[in-house]
Amino acid sequence: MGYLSELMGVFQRGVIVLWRNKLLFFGNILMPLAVVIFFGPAADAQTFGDLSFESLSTGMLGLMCFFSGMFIPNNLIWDRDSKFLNILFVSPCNRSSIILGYSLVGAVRSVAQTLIIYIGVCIISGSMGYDIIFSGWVMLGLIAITILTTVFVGGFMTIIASYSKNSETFFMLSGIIGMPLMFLSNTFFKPESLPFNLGLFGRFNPLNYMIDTVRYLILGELPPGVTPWEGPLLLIILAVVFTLLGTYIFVHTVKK
Amino acid sequence: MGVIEVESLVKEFNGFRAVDNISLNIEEGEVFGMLGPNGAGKTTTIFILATLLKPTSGTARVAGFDVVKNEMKVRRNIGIVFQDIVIDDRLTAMENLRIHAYLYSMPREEWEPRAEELLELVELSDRKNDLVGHYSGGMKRRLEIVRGLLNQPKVLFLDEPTLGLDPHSRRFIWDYIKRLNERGVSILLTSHYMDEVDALSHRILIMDHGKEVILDTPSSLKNKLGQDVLRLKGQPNQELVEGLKKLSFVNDVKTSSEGIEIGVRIPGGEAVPELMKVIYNQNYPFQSLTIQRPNLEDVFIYYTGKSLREEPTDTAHTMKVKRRGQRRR
Repeated sequence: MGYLSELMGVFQRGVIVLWRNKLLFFGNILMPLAVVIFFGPAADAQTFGDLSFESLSTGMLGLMCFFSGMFIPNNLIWDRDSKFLNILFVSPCNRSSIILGYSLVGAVRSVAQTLIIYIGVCIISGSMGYDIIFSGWVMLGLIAITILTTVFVGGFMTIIASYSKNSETFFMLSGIIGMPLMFLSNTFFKPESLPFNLGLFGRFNPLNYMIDTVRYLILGELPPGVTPWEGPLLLIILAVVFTLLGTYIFVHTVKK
Repeated sequence: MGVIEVESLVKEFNGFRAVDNISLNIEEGEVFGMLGPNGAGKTTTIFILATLLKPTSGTARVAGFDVVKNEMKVRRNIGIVFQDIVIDDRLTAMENLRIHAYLYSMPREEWEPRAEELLELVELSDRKNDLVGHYSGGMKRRLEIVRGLLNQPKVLFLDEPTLGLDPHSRRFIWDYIKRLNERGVSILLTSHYMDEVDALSHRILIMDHGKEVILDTPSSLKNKLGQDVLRLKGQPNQELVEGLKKLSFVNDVKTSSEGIEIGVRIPGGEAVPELMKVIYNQNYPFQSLTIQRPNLEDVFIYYTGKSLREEPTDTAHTMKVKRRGQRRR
């Protein structure tokens, strides 16, 4: 009960602030929708080789979760620099509840944005004659994948935030890490169509497993040799491991 | 056993000693002041006691629990108001307090009436549902005090509680602190405002460069310096000066273009009747007579050789304060 209460405190604060900043919330939806609207048809015209409207749209849904998780620690850094984090650290709450609370706020934002984009993609798909159809079960699956991905990426980026002196450094490091992960994910290219070394990197890119799962949910397709449970299982393990690791490292770098 | 016990506390940052061998014992129900300039080590000491920093060496116990071995138990028993205002101004006052209550696992039936009572105490009840971003600095500070008390701590740490506030708000905060102490809350207060520490504290520890300079009650600290000074404003008169020097309780008499300064060994109020007899006999017309007691700044200058305000000290004033203290001894 104590842990849940602590988690609720951190979570509730983040959700209230999120709700009061609707411009930021809706602004974050426009970019992926714009990519789908403007590049989706171009992808389907074979301009980009491996891509189709369906594969690009499902890939963008997966990337949405990834980006939401990447910027969760920015709130941590902001709270650290404004010293609000001291209020949390001086309270008797478990440190992992703080990190998990921030991650879950990011997950809420991510889920809301992902679902809105999914509905948008279904509408665009229907109007342009593509094969993405709305389903309630898919929505539930997307919610689960989004939460797991956001928590995993949030925990991982918390480690990066721990060694970032300020927001500028964190954004710089996020870009260095995020860009290769994004471009070498199977959103834009199949791993087997990449040069050998980059394709190998793709095999170890957790985003690929997540995007494969999203594609399986929406399109019922999986790459050869990949099972439906690999992605979710990997995300669960990574979410737990990186939340705990991120908590440990962040707390020990903040407290000297 | 005191509510705070500190023994030989040291904190180093990359070889620099921010806290250098501090020992103190704060009794339950006491307001304990830590006075010193910026960089004296006051905030670092509070951060160690609040379990935000680990000491390099030494021990500290708060509410009976070791700050290193029993961090969680210490945190359950303390409240803190930081030097910087760290209230979330994107939330309302009640939202801030609700979230704080969640962090302390306080059930609604416990925290809500307590929050209402405390908001009433600090006169913020009618603004409890307004965004804190619309509050003045003094209001934010009062809300922080409410937050610090919400979990009914045994010890409340106040780190420069009136920093940056206008004089009216400062007085408000002082009144609240006194009322809190009357309710039995033990308070550790840090400040570089001597009037604040003087007005609120039962005992004061003066710190400089991380070290203890002296620890005692405010009155004892000032009495250590000895004499009051009476200032007679008017034209200097040598006959009057000679007459004043003959009084048994007069230490020294100095003249300036503004008048006469008389250092006395007894409380200034007791010296006035005899002084007035001399002035009357000399038929001396004066404009005003003021009594100046030694203040904590004088105490600080005496023991450290520099001003609390970090301005270059007038050497003559420093020497005067030192001589005053030595004469008392």
